[in-house]
Amino acid sequence: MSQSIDHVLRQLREAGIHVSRRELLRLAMFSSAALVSGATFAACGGQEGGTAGGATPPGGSTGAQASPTAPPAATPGQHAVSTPTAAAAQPRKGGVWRMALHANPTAYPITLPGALADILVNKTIYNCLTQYQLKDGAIEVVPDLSESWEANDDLTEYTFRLKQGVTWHDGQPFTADDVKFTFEAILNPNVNAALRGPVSSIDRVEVVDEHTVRFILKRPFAPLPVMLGYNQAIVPKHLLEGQDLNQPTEFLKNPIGTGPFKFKEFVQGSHLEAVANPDFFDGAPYLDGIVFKVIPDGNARVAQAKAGEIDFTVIEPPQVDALKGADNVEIREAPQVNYYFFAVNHTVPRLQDVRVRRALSHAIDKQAIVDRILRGYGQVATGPINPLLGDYYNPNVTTYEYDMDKAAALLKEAGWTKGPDGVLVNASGERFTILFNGPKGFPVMEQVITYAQQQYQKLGIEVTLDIVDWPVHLEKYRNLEYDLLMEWWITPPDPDLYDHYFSESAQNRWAYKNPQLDELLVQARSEADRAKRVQLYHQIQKLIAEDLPVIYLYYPRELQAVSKRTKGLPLIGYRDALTWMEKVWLEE
Amino acid sequence: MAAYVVRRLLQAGVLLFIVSVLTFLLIHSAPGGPALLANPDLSREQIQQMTAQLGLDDPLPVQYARWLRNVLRGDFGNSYNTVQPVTRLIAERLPNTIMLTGLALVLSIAIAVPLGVLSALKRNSALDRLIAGFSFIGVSIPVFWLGIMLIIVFAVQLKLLPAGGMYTLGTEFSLVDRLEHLLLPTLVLVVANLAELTRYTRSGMINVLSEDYIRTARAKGLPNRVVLIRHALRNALIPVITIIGVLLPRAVSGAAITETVFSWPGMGRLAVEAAMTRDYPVVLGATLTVALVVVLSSLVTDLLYAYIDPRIRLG
Repeated sequence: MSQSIDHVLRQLREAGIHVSRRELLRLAMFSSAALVSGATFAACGGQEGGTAGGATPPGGSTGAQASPTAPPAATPGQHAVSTPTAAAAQPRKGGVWRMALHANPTAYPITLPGALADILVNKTIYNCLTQYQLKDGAIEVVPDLSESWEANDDLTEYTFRLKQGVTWHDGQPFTADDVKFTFEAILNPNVNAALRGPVSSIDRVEVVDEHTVRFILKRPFAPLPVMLGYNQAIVPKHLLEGQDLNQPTEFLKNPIGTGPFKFKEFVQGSHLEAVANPDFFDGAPYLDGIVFKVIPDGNARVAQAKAGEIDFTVIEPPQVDALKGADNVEIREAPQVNYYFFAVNHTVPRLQDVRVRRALSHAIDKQAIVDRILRGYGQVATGPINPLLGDYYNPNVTTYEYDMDKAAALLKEAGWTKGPDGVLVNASGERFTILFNGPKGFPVMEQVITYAQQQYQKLGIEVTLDIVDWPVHLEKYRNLEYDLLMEWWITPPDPDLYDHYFSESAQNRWAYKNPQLDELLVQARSEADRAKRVQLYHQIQKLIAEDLPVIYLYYPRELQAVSKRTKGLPLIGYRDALTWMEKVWLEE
Repeated sequence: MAAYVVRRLLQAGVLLFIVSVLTFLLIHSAPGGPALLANPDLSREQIQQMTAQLGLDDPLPVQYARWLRNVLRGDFGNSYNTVQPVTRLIAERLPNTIMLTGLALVLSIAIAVPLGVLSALKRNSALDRLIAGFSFIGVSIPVFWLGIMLIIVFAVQLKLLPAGGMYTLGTEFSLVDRLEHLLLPTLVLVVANLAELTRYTRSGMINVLSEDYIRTARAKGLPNRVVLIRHALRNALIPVITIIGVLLPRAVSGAAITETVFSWPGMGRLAVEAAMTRDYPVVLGATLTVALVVVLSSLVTDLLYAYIDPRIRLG
């Protein structure tokens, strides 16, 4: 190991890449751990023994470690929601569905301490007012606890009619009071609601009658019905009123929702079990129950899927080979509203020049990243709006194809010329350096960052990698302690970009300011006419592509390893698929 | 003797206090802060407010004093991540870990001591080299790799054993089921422990065998078995007990990697996950629990020394 590390180091240095031995070792340990397990799985499956080619460092060349036979990429956006009736067999009652979680869940949707694990579990125990499904390649909003909704002309008031006859798991009726209570809790400044952002346009909630609720907004807001389906689960007023909503220890012993599954037990570090709710308002589920197993290790999740001990886990592209040989597991590609990018710190003077940002984008071969690092499970991103948003997506914008000469020319135009040591300097003698931050423990991201480092160094930019633990990464992101930083945004299925791009928004993490864009963003989120709204977002995407606030990389597809006995699970990102668990059944 | 134990326990109290101060300082100086506050969906204002609510904006001495006051009342606080009392988290996890690592420790001793003795008696023989070879392989194999390999072979390929977890979910408790789940992770831990224990037993035994009293015992014409067990092994066990004293806290602190690979809900994972997510109350609770066991097991080790070797005087 040590010898090969030195060898790699030498090679990298000859190629002009300066990376410390420690950094390289860390990366190599990472990739070889993934490689070893990947390769052994592949070997056990009797295929592709050649992938164990050795510890090629990530980014040694663009994705050289990708397997020679990259799996064919499925055509994106062609997935219809598969309903049980679409399958040939009759849905069967019974059975327990087992799904992997990476961390301990907390079945309480208001404060979301564990974030993703909580969200996933809550999807099956609680309901939102709306939910999402995929139709003709685009995501649409459909009712969940609501029956229908309407807005006034200027989009400042929304009236939701609620489903009748819905009961909580303890038998109490669900009413408009619960909805009012929930949103008042989320908006209460003393409650640590993690997902306040999407509903922060709500000024107050009025109970019209037992089954009708009205949202009065602070400003016109077109996407409210979408946002209400974005993890805004309704909680029972009768059990939570007067409790400490930040630490509802009593409620957590037996969380009560309206969902198709009822909380049964949580053994921390092991599992959370939910059982079928026969009184579910949309019909009793087929399954007897769901077990969410806490499996922190990625390789262990793959092994358990292969051994038939779990029915569902999401996996990373490098794990696909490990599962290809398994005859009990199907690998599905689900579309998700998500984009990966290099965040640009706009307080750094040298990155404020749009020519520099364009050069940084031209220097990255995004198609190669998708093909070799993502192994085809993704699509090159043209901007922040995802093709899943249907006609809101504008493909006709400026793109930055891979072109190193153009990148070099743009940097020259911006006043950067190579100094005697090969590093770019400007007129005042400032060296072009980049502190490149990324989170530790994400193999794909580490490979992309290492590749980018190499590309930028070819242009004469001095790149220092800063790969750190997740909380440190986010702290540096928040405090603008980076030049470039790799991140992603998973967003509600609406084109609204206000939170992340508006100059004064708290979530604008890059200190990016563009008055022209600000105006369009406010206009677009207040527009009631859909056609006009689409036009506005097309304009916004054009503007963003021109000014390039961040370096857009790719729209990833979610890889799901699903047991073949699982039927009726919609092919959509698992956060959304889990809202349809009452439709899922298990084949004998 | 009783005075000695009391004095040691008082010292332990002081030690635990120091450990808690150090842990407190260390975890609070780790960069990043609680993962709870790192949620990218939170706004800056919300983060400030939550920091205030958790009392994290107070000066460190104030925070420590508050924590200590609560601990003396038996309240270790709630986990940031799961909103559950730390005492409950530890009470749930500790038995799981003791079950796994305790079994591994007992098995390790049961296998390693005879192997070590055998090695010492047949010094430099083929058997000795074989045992040494296996010990070195055992100590060299990375735990996560061995764990994943065992899972691939026994769970994925042969489908003989479960790939992880503590029991088959949705079934009643059964001893067979529990043992099936214990087998692979225990094996990994035994392999890791074995080398150390075997080598220590071997060298302890070799030292003792060259002592004068062994020669005397043999000269007296005592049967070989009696010489070995009553005279040699008993004395050779002193260093072994030292090692067991070191392994015992390990049995409580858990085996984080093994527990992670086998999804075993033990203390090691609890502590590591808490440290990674800067879940301060859990880190402190888990560290103190382990520190307590370290202190107690070193006390027990010292008492055992005195029992095994009456020449050792406590006091």
